[in-house]
Amino acid sequence: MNRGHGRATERGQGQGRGQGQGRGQRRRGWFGAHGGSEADGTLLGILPGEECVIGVISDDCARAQAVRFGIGNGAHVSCVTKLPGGPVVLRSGRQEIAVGRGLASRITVSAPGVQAAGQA
Amino acid sequence: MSGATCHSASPPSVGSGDRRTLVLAGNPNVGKSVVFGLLTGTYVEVSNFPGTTVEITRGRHGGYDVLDTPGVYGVGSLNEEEAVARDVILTADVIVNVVDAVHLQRDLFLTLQLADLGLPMVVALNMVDEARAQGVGVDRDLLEDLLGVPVVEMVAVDGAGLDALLQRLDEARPGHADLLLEDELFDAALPGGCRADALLVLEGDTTISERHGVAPGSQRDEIYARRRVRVDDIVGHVVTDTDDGLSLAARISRLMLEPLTGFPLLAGLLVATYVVLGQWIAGGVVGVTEETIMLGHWEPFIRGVVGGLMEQGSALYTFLAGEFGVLTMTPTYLLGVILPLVVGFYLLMALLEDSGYLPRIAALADRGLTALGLNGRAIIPLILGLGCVTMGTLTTRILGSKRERFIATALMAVAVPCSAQIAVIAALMARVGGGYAAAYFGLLIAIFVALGTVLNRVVPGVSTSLLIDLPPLRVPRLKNVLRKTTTKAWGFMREVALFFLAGTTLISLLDITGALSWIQRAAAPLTVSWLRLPAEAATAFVMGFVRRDFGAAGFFTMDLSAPQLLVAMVTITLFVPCAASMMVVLKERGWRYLIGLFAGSVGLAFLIGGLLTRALGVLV
Repeated sequence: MNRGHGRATERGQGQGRGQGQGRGQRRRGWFGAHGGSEADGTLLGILPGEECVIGVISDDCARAQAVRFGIGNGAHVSCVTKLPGGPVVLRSGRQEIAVGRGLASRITVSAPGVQAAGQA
Repeated sequence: MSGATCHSASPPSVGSGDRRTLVLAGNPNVGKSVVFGLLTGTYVEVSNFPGTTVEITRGRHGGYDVLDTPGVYGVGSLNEEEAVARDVILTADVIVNVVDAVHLQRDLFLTLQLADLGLPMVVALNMVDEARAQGVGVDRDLLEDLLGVPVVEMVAVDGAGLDALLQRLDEARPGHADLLLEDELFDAALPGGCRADALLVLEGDTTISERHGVAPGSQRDEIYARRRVRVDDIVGHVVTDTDDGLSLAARISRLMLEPLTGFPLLAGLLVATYVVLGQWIAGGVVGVTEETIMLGHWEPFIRGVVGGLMEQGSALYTFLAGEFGVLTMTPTYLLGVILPLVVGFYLLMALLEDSGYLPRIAALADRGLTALGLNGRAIIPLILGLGCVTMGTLTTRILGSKRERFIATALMAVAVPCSAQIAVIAALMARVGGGYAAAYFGLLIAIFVALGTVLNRVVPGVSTSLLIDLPPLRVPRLKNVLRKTTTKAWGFMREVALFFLAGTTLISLLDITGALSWIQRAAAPLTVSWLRLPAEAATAFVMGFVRRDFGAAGFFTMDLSAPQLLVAMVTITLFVPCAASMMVVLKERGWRYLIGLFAGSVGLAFLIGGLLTRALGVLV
């Protein structure tokens, strides 16, 4: 199970790279805080309206709380909005969760389609 | 072994004549407190939970002692508030788990954890009306079968479902637990212990492990993941969601969070707050209550009555009807100046809380608060601190790290004036015009930001990131809002009244014995030379040790120029926090922190006051 998720995440990062760099550059223009590489494959790289599957959450407490909210490893979420320099707002079912920028950069994500391929 | 008792292991006490403990548990904003009110009626008592400073609401229903708990998403110790909820839950004979029918995917996680803990419970499926309106159907019978405990539909705000809940309390039983959680696993984790504690040890709860002297387990991720799968499975079976479109509330919620509309909406709210609290209440209403009613009618009346009974200038006359008299100044400030703004503030707080806007403010403020070593969540204690710093300090428990609690407590103690203080200061500032009032608030905000930035640099440790649930927006129910406002304003006013009475007694005693003029002479280098205020300002600072608003009130009778008033107000605001909040700081943060805070706030108050005096001397 775990191995499956790991593979999906890696593939997700690999496939998303070309697209991700473009996003990163746009973000540099907006915030100037970081390059595209940090956002690639993490929740920070997701854009409003996009969907993704949550991968690994490295913070212990955040990981536990995320599972309780239903946005833990393997959860399918969509991005509602992003506040400039601030949190990413996610939606899962009828649940909306704001994830701080620092934490979002430590959560890996993959594209939904890729996740499905990884599981099959 | 000390600590949590294990009721699940002890024989049920039904019919023994003993009182049983009923604990309400649930996620935040699911209506626990409303259910609590239905069960206990008006008789509630707020008391400290043993070993903590946390206030737990208690009441009675029949043979049950009913306890309310802070809203949590799971049983554990992710923050201090959660630890309190956990300890109360572990003392329960029966749990009423209140869940929001619209958000079962989130709420059932706690339900299944309670089932895994082996605690007898009944599930109150609340807000079924709202679920229906949003096109969400919940199959109650199937949910009951899948959970293995009674499930009762409720619309708690209307009182609907209470009878069914009461009827089925006796059927409370432990729900269907995770089948992989076998007895051998619990025995290995906590030999000879009870199931609930053993599960928490397995889930790596450090406090419970410490209490039993065993190593915390490392299986939280596996247990949580299986529980999440079971929740999703149950939800998949019992919930039918027919409405794909966004409701009006969801659309407004989007606008509140979109950068282009969210910040202007927040700014609009702040302006509206200023107009209502700052102009209508602090200006208009207080003008009537303070000047017309209290100063115009009440005080002359009391002076006449007391003057007819005793000689003017006697010690008793001074105590009763003098400058700081308990029958003159005390009621004038309490009822005329402070009460209107306190009520207004708590009304606003109740509206913010019940509408669900507060967590959205947390998301909007996250970026700014990160620079102060906090995250957006800290906006909740900080806003509560504007009502009452003591309350705000208690609420720092919801913050995720010691570092954040350290910084938030210091910021509130130093640079956040409470509603009572704002009331007094607004009344004083009304004399000198808007420019000075704006300068006062501008300076405070600058000090707040500067202090937070410095603390972020020097306080060791790592702050946590924002991870906050955004509950659905709701139209607040008038009845609930009024109940909350009166309860909180009454509690706050009682505290203020107590300290005001103690303070006026102290000042009158000092005045009568001549100690006050000695203090005024002794403090002259600081008050007269450094701050360039009249010598009587020392009286206000002595009063400030009791409460800051009381201290600010001490400047009322002094004839100050506009710059002097600004210096006095800034200095007294930064001055030591009130006695009540210092007691809370002592309990929550320890005596070393308190001494540091005390020395720091007095030092900072006089340093900034003196510098401001000189700056104004140049400018004005």
